[in-house]
Amino acid sequence: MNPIDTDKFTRRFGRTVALSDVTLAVPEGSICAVLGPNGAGKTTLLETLLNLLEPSAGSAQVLGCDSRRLGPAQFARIGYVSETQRVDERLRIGELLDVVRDLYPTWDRALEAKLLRLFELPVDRRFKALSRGMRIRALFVAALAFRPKLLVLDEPFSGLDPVMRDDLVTTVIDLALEDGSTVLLSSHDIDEVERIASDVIFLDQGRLVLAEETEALRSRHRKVVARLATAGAAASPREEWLGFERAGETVSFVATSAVEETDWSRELGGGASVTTAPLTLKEIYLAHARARQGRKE
Amino acid sequence: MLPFTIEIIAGGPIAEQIVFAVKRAVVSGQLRPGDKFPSVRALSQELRINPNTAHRVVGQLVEQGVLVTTPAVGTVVAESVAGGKAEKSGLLGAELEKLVVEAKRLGVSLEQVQRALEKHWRELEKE
Amino acid sequence: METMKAFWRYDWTLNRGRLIALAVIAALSPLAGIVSRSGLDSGSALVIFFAAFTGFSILLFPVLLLGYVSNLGRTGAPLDFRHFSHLLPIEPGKWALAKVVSVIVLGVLIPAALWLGMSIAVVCLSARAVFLPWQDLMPLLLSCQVIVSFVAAGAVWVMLFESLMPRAQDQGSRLLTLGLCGVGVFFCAELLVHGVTSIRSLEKAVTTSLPFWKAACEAGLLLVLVVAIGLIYVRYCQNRRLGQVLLLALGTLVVVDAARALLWW
Repeated sequence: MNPIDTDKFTRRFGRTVALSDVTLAVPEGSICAVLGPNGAGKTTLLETLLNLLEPSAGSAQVLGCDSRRLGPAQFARIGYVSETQRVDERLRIGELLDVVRDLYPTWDRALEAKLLRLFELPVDRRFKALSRGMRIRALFVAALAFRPKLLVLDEPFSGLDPVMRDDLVTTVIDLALEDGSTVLLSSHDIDEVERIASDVIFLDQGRLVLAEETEALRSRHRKVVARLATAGAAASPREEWLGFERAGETVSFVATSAVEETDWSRELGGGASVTTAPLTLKEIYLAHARARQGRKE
Repeated sequence: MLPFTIEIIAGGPIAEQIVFAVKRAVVSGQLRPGDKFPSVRALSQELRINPNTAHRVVGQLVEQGVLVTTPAVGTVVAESVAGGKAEKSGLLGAELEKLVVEAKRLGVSLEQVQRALEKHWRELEKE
Repeated sequence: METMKAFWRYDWTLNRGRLIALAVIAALSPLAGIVSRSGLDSGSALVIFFAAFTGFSILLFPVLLLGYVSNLGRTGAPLDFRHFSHLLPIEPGKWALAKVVSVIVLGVLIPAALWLGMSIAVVCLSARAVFLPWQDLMPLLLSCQVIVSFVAAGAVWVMLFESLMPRAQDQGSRLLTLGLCGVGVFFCAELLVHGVTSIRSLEKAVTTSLPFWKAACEAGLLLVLVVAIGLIYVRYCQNRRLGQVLLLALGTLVVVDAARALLWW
């Protein structure tokens, strides 16, 4: 059973459509990254999945329960961290933990202490006196200490220095390894999540561009640069080639359904000298995003 | 601390880079037959990669005979592949072909390739 | 039950100061009152301090209570969807019920009990031990209950209103919602006090001039009012959608009562 399954999930704010017909599945035990530019609908997706906002249409199943009916049984296994989360500013870190601790049957005191030490958090400082980074780290402790089955992180790395980011990454990996937890995180910085994400979801203007395993995504994309055999050779771009450019005899594009055995010279009308190269996740994303822009114009 | 050196270049297929680094370490002697190989967890933590990727790396290395799983100890570096000459050259053949194709494409001469080959060979022996 | 205990822990952590101040003011003001009055007779200098304390506490108590109730109403309300309480493994209905109980018990009942207890102690100590005959005691208790219920109803009413207001971000819209809230509270309360409970003036209800059965009815009605508002609040916290219906109903009430007040003039 997938921890998250959505079906034509839609959320509107008045006339703005923040999420449009999003249908996806997050596999169990995966570290799934939701990527996209600012305003793509990442935060809205996460907030609507956890029933902070009501979906306007469609449905979602979170931990086997309809998202609209999420209750204490599910929330006891869901950890959520977001910069937009509000906490009473007069509350001290330790006080917040005191309030939530008894609500979670799986709370691990030792882990709580370890995380407080790792993130260097002073337990008696009030939230209003915390820097942005410390605030997020405090929320992390509250969300990780009970070893959630599903961890939802909204832009978790923003405001963290490289050392803290690194600590966070290793903590998340630890959680995935030890407890088989599923992690859903959103980021607008693709390079950051490239290595740890096993699955990626691209969102653009509320629409799902693609949702796939990182490995599969990477292996089917290749940057192809070719020098055509004959100057006049007509190399018509295929549907699945993105960003097709031509300068004289040289063409370049991003192939989206490449396999090991693809004979590129044949695809390009014979006799072309071809180089192929793999692409980073960011480059793959950009290729798709530019193509969508181009199609709209 | 991993028993082999590796520098992951962003954009390339991560698993392949690690597999290559391990093979390189075995060849250069950094990893010796019988040495204990890091667990999937250690690999994943040290390299900050997804546990699945680490799992796949170990799987590939075992499949290719670089590592071997022993019941008591765990995953260890395998003894050198004791195969026949024909088998060994067969394994190498594909790599050599790739090298030749690439060299010809770049317009590198046979002498230059031989010189470069010798240089890299000696360097690895020094390590 | 876990939910409610967690809420009370949270409430106590945040509002400890306010609640203790409320209790202290309620307990000390009868004492200060009697001291200042006797001081006036004797002409002591300390009298000014105690008189000031009495006067100050009469103003401070409602301000503190209002602050407490508004805070509870605003934070973690259904419209405050980013508040961390919405992701806790709690039942929203129980959380809201805990809030109502807090307001009534900690905000109204305990200060009232302290005030009453202290007043009785002062009366007993200063004058001869006075034993009130049964006929006088009952109306007195009813009057107390009327006042306490009235204050409790008002408190829960303000909490409900605060939770219906959207979280205003900037200064301008914040003042606007505050103003709207105030207007709404006033007119609706007015309507309920005059229209529903027919308490023409609170004074009559608390003095013994009202016949016993009438006073009992007023007291009973106010109790029902407290429970009813409390239940509406709890239901609203369980079901966000109800908010729109409630706003509509309350808006209508405000308009109707404003019209009635204008016509009456």
